[in-house]
Amino acid sequence: MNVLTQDQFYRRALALATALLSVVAVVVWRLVFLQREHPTEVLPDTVLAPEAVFPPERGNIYDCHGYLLAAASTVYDIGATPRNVKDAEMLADRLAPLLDEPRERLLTLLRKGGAHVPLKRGVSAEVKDSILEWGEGVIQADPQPGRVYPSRSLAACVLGFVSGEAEGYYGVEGYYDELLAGEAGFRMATRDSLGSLFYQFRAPRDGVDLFLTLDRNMQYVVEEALAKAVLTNDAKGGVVIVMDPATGAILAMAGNPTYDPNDFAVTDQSLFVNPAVSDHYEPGSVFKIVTIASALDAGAISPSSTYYDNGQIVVGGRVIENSSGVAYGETRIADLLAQSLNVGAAHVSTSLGAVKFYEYLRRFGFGQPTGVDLAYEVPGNLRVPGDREWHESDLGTNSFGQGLAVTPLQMLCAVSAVGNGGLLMRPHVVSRIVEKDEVTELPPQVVRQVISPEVAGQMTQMLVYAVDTVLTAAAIPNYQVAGKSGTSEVPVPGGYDPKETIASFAGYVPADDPRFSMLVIIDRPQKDYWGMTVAAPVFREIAQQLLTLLAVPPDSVRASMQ
Amino acid sequence: MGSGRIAASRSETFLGQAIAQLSDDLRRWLYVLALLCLISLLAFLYLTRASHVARQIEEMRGCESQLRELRRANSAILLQIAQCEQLPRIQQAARDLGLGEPQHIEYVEVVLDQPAPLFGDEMAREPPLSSPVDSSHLSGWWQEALCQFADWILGSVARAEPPGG
Repeated sequence: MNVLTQDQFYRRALALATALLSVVAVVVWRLVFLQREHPTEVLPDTVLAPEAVFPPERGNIYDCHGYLLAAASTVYDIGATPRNVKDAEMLADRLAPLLDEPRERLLTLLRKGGAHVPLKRGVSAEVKDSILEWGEGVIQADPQPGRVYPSRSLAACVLGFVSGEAEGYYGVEGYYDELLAGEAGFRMATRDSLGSLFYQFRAPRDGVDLFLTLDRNMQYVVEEALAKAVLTNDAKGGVVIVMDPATGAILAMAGNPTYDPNDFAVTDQSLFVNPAVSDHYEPGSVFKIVTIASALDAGAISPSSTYYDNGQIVVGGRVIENSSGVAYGETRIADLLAQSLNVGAAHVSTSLGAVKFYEYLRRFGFGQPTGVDLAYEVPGNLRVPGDREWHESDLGTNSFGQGLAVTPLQMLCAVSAVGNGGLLMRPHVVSRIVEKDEVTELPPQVVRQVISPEVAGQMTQMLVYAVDTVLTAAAIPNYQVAGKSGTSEVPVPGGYDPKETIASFAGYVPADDPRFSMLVIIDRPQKDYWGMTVAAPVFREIAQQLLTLLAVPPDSVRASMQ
Repeated sequence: MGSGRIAASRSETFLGQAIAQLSDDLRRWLYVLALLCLISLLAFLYLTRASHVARQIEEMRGCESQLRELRRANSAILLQIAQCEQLPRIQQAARDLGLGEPQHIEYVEVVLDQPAPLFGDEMAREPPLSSPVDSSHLSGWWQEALCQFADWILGSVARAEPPGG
């Protein structure tokens, strides 16, 4: 037996150790190399890509009772790999009904060749699942954040919509886009100073949930009645806003025609505009409420004041006449309001004086945005002394709501200020913001005291008198209604359209303790033209239903309970 | 304490002597072996850490996917509820049940299940000194009688609004 010498043993052992060390060194070097240079080769790329963005979930929108109005959802962009398609005709046949796309279009796309062709965006999970059951390997489904409005067109002008790029437009979606959208999370592969790879990770912050002041039941009642009124009067459109005058909370807001935000992509873009805040109109005689209230508050007139109505008045060289063309003689302020006399309104505004009159209009919030939390609000158009366009005759015409443009919301805020004792409230549609467990209540905001409570009370009595005596179409049995109608002309280049009008009615119920104030506007009615005959009945119809919904007892019952 | 020091110095001396006795080659071999062990240990630690991270990534991926599924299911349920709560659907269901719009609404006073203030508000606000009989045990007719008596004493309150009024 060959016996190794100690020297030989050491040499061989050393050689073996060196070989083993070399192998270990190579393995370690390779591991380090792979980790540094090709991190994704170390881990299967299906497990974790080095970089990723995690989209946040958009917040939901609820009405004041917690009914869902807008919800986040996941939709899928469906695509195909044409080079893997064996039978394009058969595939197009199967896809066409599921994707609701023309077969020929799909066939053209599938025959294009290449690695990927998009077939349809925004497909529901159910459709995606049924396609992937048989289309695995050929069809791909890419999840995308989506938005669903389960009540379809209900409150569309308040809600707005979310685009395919997850951006909110119009309404609440536009105004609160940043809060609703949340913040995307990410994962990013970076290296430290020693060159070691590590992942930076930030979880996505989901969007907040919004609870609106809107009551979906009231909204439904309002939308139904408005649609019926527009149809009955063969009108171009209409607007109704219902507000809680005590808080400025908007209870319902409807525009007609409307649209379904689920189908915003195939909707006429002009319908996206909320006419209650983004359009303005000449308010007509409803504006006399503001004129009379201002003059009463300034002390220029008193409830017992009278003036002599001879059928016309000249202001700034312009002759102003009553719409009826009749002279009423000695007339009380209450009758001026009830009969809606332009001459009387101009008499009052000139008695008040331009400086005071326009100061009051500003105090009522005209010519500036109300600050409502809805996207794209416009300030209206109010010319004041000192402006180049202002003319002395504006003092007369503005007094009965001509020659100035206001938004429907501005008009209702002013009427609500009269109804609630003289406080101008900031209108709002969001009452509560909920972020996980944190609830932020948005309290009502008083803008300013516009008129004294005493004057507000006197105005209410005059408006009740107007409804009881002349505007009886708005009267509701067993409830005192305070209100005023308006019929305004439609301005066109060079004057006013002689054939078209905007009929409106604004008021609040019950007059002594209003639960809601409401403005009804019917745009260009064709069968009748007057606010008194077109808008007042709509006001009554809606108000009656809202009183039932809100369980407001008749005045006599309320009086006996006090 | 002294004996401990002596024992330690003895063992150090013995180890030093043993190392000194080894040949230079053997010493080199031991160094190589130690280095090999060290590198193997480092490689083992590295691989353990890498596999641990990979396992965590896999778990994270599973959680992410589970979260996505749960959210999707939650959204689907929310939407399903919303669909069921749609007003046109409820309206239709009500019509199918034979319900209609109210022709008139009558407001009636609701008598709450508590004793009426017999001797004025001040008395009623004060808690009773002793309550031998629980008011909730009183029979309906007795409560009704008490209420009527209270109405008679304190003045009448509108108890019902006539139809339409």
